[in-house]
Amino acid sequence: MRFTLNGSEVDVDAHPMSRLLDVLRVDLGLTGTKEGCGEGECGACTVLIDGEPVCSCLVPFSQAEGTNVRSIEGLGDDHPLQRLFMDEVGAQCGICTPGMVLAALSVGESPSLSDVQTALAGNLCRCTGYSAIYRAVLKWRGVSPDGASSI
Amino acid sequence: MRDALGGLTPREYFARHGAFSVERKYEPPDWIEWDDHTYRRDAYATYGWGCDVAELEVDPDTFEVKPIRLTAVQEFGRPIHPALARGQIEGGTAQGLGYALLERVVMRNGAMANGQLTNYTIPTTLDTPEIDVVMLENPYPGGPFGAKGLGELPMDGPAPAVVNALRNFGLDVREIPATPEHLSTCASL
Amino acid sequence: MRTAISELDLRRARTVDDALAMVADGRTPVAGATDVFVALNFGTLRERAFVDIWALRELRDITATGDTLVIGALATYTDAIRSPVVAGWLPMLIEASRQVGGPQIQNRGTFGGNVANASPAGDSLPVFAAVGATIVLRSSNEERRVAFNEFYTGYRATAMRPGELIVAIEVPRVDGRQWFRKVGTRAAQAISKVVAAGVRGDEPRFALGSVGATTVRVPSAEKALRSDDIAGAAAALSAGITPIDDVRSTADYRRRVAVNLLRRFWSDTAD
Repeated sequence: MRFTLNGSEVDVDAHPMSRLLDVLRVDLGLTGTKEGCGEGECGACTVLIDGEPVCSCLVPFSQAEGTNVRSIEGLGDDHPLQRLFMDEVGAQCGICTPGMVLAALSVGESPSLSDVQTALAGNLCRCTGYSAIYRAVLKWRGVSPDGASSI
Repeated sequence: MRDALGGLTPREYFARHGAFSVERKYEPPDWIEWDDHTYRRDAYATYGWGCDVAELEVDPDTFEVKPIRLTAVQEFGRPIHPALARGQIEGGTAQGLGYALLERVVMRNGAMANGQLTNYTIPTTLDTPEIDVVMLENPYPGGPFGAKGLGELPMDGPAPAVVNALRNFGLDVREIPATPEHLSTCASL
Repeated sequence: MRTAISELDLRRARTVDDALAMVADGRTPVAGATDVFVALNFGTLRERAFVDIWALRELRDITATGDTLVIGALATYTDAIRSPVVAGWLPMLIEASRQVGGPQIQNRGTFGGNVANASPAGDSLPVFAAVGATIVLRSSNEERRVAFNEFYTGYRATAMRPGELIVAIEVPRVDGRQWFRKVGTRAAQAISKVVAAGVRGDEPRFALGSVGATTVRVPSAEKALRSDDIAGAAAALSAGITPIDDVRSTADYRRRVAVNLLRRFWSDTAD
């Protein structure tokens, strides 16, 4: 079945009821996308389908056909948001980080702190208390963390 | 460090020579007397200190608690890596908040009945307020580079701070997590 | 232990008629999969044959035609949040949609799925109950409509017949101020402990989830509201719901909060 993955056409033969998460990790060897819970609760498995963040543990592979899927590997090694995650120590154990970064890509221009929190409400992090993640995302969008106010 | 690396940056050194490793073992100073066999003398040569402030709102209809701001003042000798230290404090404070308000362990027949991320509820972004961190420096002569420990300290204060805030509000809270169900049955103070 | 994929059979429907034929054949529809795949992940999935209806674009539209807002069964929570039509007609559905899970779930969960899943805790259900929505069901033979307050026949039981698919939810013009509140286990990614929607017009309506086997309205409470008898309405509501103790909350808390929410609905929507 054909779909676009990280900008390139791929053709994968897998059971249509396979989780997209497993097609990425097992069939394609792209282990950047993580399984945190298997129930759409933690967001560690987040990928973008046609630009929208979804939990890949809940996507039947059948539904990826003809779509544009982006996993964390598709960001490359030097995306500005990745750099800021490093600089701000937005990752401690790192298990939430791939999903968190992809979900954060949907944050729009000039976000408030509340906008960032809402965009990341589907991504659980146990290590950071989210603070460093907010700093990274706000800086990426050109907002000084002190300048962003909460709700 | 630049001397040890012959004037190179870590990246340059690594590119040229590969990994560079140094091993040192922390030896407590001789003025700390602790006998590991008899368990006598100074078990704790020093302490880390914390002061946590929790600002909350309580919904009068639902008893839901909304944390508005958490402030964590921590004195742990010296932050050797301030960004990592700050991250530990923020993360531990958030965990303490979950401990205080959200994380109820339900046991049935000796086993945990809510051991999934759907029903063991840790704080999401919308449950976690801004966390102000103040790191006080008070170098401890017995610790490496003046540092004490920081692993556990951030988790110690938030739950008591939250409970004290709720008690200050007038609810006789005596357990955590201080769930809305618990608050709805608390006596008034 | 996850359900073994090799035991499962999924076929994609190319058209609605295609889907209806497969549903008649005993296949279970899969759309956003936010319920079906949770069951699959936890090995509690009982069905084995599925029809993938996600790509049926014609079931995803949200349109206003005359006096009816038609929400396609495959419209997602995100579709509603972004819909100017819904913003004008049924803003409390947007409020409800924003509180479902998080963005990832909102991008995939559908209203048809929420209705078909028949959980008493479904977040959109009190909204549909309070506005007197109609569920549009289609089979290979016919299309029929069922009033929302007749749709649930018991705990996770619906009036759907074999071979039927929910194709749309129809909402009449809403006469009155809209009000919605969800009380979850936390501020996001939460199953509701109590969820309520209200409409305050000449005939006030107040619907609740998570306080009984299905989404409920309490007619005697609504009747009392018509004469502004909030005390009477509160008492009637309290007597008319059947909340339980469960892993998330207690019957006492739910009952107490349901009454508080009724009062808050009434005071918030006053002139």
